[in-house]
Amino acid sequence: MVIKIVLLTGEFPSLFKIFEMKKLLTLILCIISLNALTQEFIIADSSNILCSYNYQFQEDSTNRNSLKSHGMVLEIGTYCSKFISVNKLFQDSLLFVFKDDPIDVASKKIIPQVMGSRVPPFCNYTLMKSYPKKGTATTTGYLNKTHLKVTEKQSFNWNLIRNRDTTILGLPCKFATTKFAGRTYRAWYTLDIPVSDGPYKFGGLPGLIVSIADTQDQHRFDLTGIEKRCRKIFFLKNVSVDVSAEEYVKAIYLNISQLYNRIQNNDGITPANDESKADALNRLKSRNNFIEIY
Amino acid sequence: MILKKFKMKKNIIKTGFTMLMLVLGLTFTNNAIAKELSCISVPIDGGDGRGTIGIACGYTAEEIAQEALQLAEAFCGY
Repeated sequence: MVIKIVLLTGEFPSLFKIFEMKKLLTLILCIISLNALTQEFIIADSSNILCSYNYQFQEDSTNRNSLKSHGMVLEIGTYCSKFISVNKLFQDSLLFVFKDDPIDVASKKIIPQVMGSRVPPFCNYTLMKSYPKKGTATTTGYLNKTHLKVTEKQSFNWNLIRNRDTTILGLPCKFATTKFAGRTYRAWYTLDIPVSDGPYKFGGLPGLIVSIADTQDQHRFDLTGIEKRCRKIFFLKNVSVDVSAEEYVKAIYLNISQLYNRIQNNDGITPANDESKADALNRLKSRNNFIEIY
Repeated sequence: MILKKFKMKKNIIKTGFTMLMLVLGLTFTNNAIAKELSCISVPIDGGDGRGTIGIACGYTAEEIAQEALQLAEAFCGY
């Protein structure tokens, strides 16, 4: 292809009279092409506090027994915070470690390690909230072979309730309620950690959110640990498509249905037997209750 | 005078066309080489379901890992 380009440019001697110019162009093309293969990272900040949350969610809205739980982590820095699945953080760390390896080598090293630490599809995102320009949350996720990005201005209308104070994990907590993306939430926050942040997109209270759940208890985040740790907050650099929150949710379900069709039609996937195929299809079918409803 | 203007116009069109071809060429070459060099087949062991990522061409390590995990999640849960 590079040769083709050089030949092509040769058709216009008025612009490319000097032969060295062609050589230089070829070299530039090669460099650009090779650069396209490497995974790039952006180091946005360093964390001051690391909060671990347990996210419990009902995967199937019609089945209470479909409760799942997954570890999530909130890295709070000076300029931004990052909310991510523990397993996804591990996966990103491996990508960071092997970032200079060729893709085939990196993949073969990474995949066996991440197979045992899978990320539920409803937790497979990276969420960044920016400081001090508070109120901007950026969610990124890889769905349907495309990197999607949702940028939202956060404006939670919190209803602070008095005289409902309690203690969670030894932290004195206050009570508040709000509505977000089709659900009503009850939150406990602590003034002892004056960080206006919390799990998922939640924030805007005078203290850190310790526990938050919707009124039907289908989605619940509980703080399980907090530590002061300084480590780099990094993000993977990808060419993303900007979408709205509604479009992002649609893409999640589309991703599930596309995988469903691939397994059903044996499209590049070979199930061990009919039973395992049926199990996988049932599992995918039951994934219908993402945290945001539109 | 008219001949001069015509020549100028011709040159502008020629330059514009060259630039367009150059941009198209750059984009196409970039993608083609990237895909060719990174086209690999990653075996996926999703427990009860096995497959290969035949669509790995031109994908980053992150994207390949994501595709692999998605398949494993479907067959094994999490």
